[in-house]
Amino acid sequence: MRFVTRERLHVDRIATAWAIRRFVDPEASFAFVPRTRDIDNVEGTPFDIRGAELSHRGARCTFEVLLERHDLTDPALGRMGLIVRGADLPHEDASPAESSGVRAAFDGLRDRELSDEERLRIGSAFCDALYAFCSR
Amino acid sequence: MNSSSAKWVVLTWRLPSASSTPRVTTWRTLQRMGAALLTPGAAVLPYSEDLLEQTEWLAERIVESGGEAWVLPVSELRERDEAEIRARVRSARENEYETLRAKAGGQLSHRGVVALEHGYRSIVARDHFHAAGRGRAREAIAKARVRRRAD
Repeated sequence: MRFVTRERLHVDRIATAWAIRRFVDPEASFAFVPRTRDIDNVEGTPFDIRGAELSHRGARCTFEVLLERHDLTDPALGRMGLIVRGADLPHEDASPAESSGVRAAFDGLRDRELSDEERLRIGSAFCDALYAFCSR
Repeated sequence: MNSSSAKWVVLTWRLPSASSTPRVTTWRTLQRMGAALLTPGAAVLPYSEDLLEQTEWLAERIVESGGEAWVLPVSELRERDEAEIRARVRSARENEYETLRAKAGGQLSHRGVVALEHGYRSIVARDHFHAAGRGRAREAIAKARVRRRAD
C-alpha cells in the first residue's frame, strides 16, 4: 500500500511509518508532501495530516491511533505509544520521562540536512531500539 | 507565502459555548507554548517549524470539539504590535521565573527540587524573548539543590 504524510518527518510520522512497515504492510511505500499541499489528489492513504482518518484523535497521537486501528495490543507498543505522544506533543499533561530525550533525538534528525527517505531510515532504526527498550 | 518567511503564527478559534473542557485545554496548551493571547479567540506565537506544527494540532483538537480554528503564519506585524506581543510574553515568563525563585528559597524535599528544575526547563522552552529573571531563577534552584545535598 501507498501512504502519504507531510514532509520533514518528526517522531509521530516516523514511528507510524515504522509500525506500518513492521506490523501492517512490509511492502508499504511512503510519499511526503509539503505542509500546505492539498492531499485530495495525492494517491495513497494519508496519515498524521489534519483531517485524515489516520491522525490524532483527542490527546492521542497518530502512532497510538494506528495501534488501535490494527489491534496491535502488544504492551510494549502501548508503552512506546505514550513515549511517542509525549515526544510529539510536549505541551500535554504528564508525559513519560523518556519523551523529552526521544523528542531531542528527533528534533536533531529533522535539523540535519537529509532527505525524508533518509530520516525515515535512520528514525526507523531508532524506533527499533525504542521498541526493544519498551519490551524489557 | 513560504512559511519560512513567516515571523509569527496566529491562531484564531471559536468553540461552542457549552464546551468548557476544550476551552480550558486550549488556553492551557497556548500558555504552555508561550503564546500571547490577543483577544478571546486569538493568540500569536513567534514562528518556528515546531510551534507551527503544535498550533496545527491544537487547531485540529478545537475542530474535533465542534469548534472552528484558523492557523495563519504571517510575515509582518506593525513594529508597535510586535513590541506589545514581546512585552506580554516576557512579562508572563518573568512572573513565572519569579515564582520559581521564591519557591526555591523555601524548605524543599529532593522531589521538590526536581520539580522546580523540571518547571524551569519548561519555562525556558517557552521564554521566546529572553525575559528577565532567568538567571536568578536558575541560581536559586542550584542553591536549593546544594542545600539538599548538604542535609
